[in-house]
Amino acid sequence: MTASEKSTHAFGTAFVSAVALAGFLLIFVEAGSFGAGARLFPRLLGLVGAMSAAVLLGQSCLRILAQRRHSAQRSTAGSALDWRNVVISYVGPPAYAGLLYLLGFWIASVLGLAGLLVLLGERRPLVVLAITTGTLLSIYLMFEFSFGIRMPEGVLLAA
Amino acid sequence: MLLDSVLLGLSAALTWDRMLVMFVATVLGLVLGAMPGLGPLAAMALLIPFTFTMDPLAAVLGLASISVAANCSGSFSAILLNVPGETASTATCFDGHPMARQGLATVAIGLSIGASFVAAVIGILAVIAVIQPLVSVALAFGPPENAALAAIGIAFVSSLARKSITKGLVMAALGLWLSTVGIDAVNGEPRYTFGLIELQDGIDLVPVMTGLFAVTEIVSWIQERGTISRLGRLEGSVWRGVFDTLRYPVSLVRSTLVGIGVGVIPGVGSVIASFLAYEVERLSSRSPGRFGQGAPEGVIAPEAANNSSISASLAPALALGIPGGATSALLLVALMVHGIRPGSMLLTGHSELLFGFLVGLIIGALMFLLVSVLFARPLALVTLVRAELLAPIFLVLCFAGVYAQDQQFSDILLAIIFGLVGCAAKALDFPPVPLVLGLVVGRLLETSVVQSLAISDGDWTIFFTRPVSGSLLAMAALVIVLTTLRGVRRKAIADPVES
Repeated sequence: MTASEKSTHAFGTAFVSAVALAGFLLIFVEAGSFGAGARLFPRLLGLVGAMSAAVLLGQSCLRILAQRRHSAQRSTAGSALDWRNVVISYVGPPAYAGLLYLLGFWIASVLGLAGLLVLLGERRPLVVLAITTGTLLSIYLMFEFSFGIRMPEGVLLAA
Repeated sequence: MLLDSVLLGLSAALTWDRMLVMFVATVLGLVLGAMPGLGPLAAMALLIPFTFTMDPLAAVLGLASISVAANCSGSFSAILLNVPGETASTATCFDGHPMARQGLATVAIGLSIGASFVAAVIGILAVIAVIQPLVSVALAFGPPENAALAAIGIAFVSSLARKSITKGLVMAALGLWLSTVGIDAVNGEPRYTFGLIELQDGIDLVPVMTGLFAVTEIVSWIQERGTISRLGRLEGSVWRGVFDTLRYPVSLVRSTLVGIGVGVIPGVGSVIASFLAYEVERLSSRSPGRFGQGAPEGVIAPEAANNSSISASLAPALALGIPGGATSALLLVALMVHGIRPGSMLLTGHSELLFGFLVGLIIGALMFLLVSVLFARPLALVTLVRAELLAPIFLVLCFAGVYAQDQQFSDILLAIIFGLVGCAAKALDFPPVPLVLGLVVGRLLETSVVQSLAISDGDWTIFFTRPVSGSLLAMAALVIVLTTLRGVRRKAIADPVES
């Protein structure tokens, strides 16, 4: 890990532990509104979680300070990152879930599968067709045919 | 006595119709268990309607075979894709997937099959030999001991976060909190539901596991490209893995015993057994640094413990009618449908059925060994498929599996949310496994703590004054302290600036 990556890592950990600390304190406070029997365990958890998060926050703050002191002596070379792949990897799954909600499982899966394959660099139409058909056929046989489970219908088509 | 029981069981189980039922159930279980989102429970649910017309022994043998096969094939996806098919297979990912990355997917699957087979056979023989003493030991475990066992499981798993045990504890606390979401099991009060009806039943494991493991893995496939096997080819064979299991007899026996010890306690389950066995193996190893890098013992230990605990959980289920988990509960349902009540009546009045069932499980384990060896190599070829083809297929399969569980769209949203949590956790070295274990044991821990305090009139010393729970809690504290000290020392040596 380069110095800049270590610094980002430590800042990220500090941020997450601060969020966790706030979250566990909220869990502790919110547990006060439950009945006597139901509040004990969440309160205990909130306390233990908050203590762990506070220790982690302290550790990451110390690490950030130590890195600042020694940053001048470290290499700052970063690694090359293919941003296109990163964007596809984070946007792909939520976008597919959105399509599922709007268009239903079958149409969304045809679009999602074929679209992702093309976006990821597969240009042979027969391969795209074979993968899309094969995957959806096996899902149909497994879930709808064997178990009788109807896959979700889209809100747009239902309306 | 043992030999008589085995012979009695053999004569009952070795008929063509029962063997055929077991074979079909094994193949079906293998296929269903490998599908994301479908596990032993779904597989058993599919078979149950067909068992109504069978004789009682064929019915329970079919259900047990499908459950064992689906449970074991859940480990295949853990090894090949780093996506555990079942929660109990999560610990198999630690060393199984690194082996797959080194091109040793078939060997890792062989190790998993070999360890599962040996442990299942030893577990079943243990149940046959000592079913009654085992049950009396299990009954000595009360709520304080169960709470302590859950606590030691969490301590062990948090200590697996090598870079920082604090991160492991934060994730475990998050998992425990997630287990409190929904209607409170003790008082029936809704907690942390934010007014959403979908959250009243609590947070299900399938979307959480799919998000944390599958979605996170799919994201990393898209970013890194290439194939899962970094060598680009498969090395070794499945049989090599199966026979390699026997090169680690101490690990195999130790983990099997851990599995039997945990499995016989009703309600604790095979998840804790597999994590405990992994950690016991790592702590007893002369070179613990190999664990997590593809150590064969890291595959053998969780697989052996998982399977022996499932076999051992049959002891309280059959002798007392107390199911150790959901699968043994379904087995009891199948028995009762045929008019057979578990308990002492089963031991005395239906001994042929009981021992026929237990010996049939050994035959089923052998059948699984042979069938899964045939399937293993074709399945392992998935590690040679390019990530850009694999990622879209698994994304669609995973979401279909998540939806199929409860047919709620909200589960897909949960999988996406936990996918993002998993990606952030991976980037910042927060281990996802303590979160999963926290979610799994949360209800057991809460119920046990509340029951213990009710027994002791609110006196917390009950956890420390009882010898078994006191020892287990002391061990949990020791694990946390030792891991913290070891981490501090390692950091001081490796990077004096950051320590």
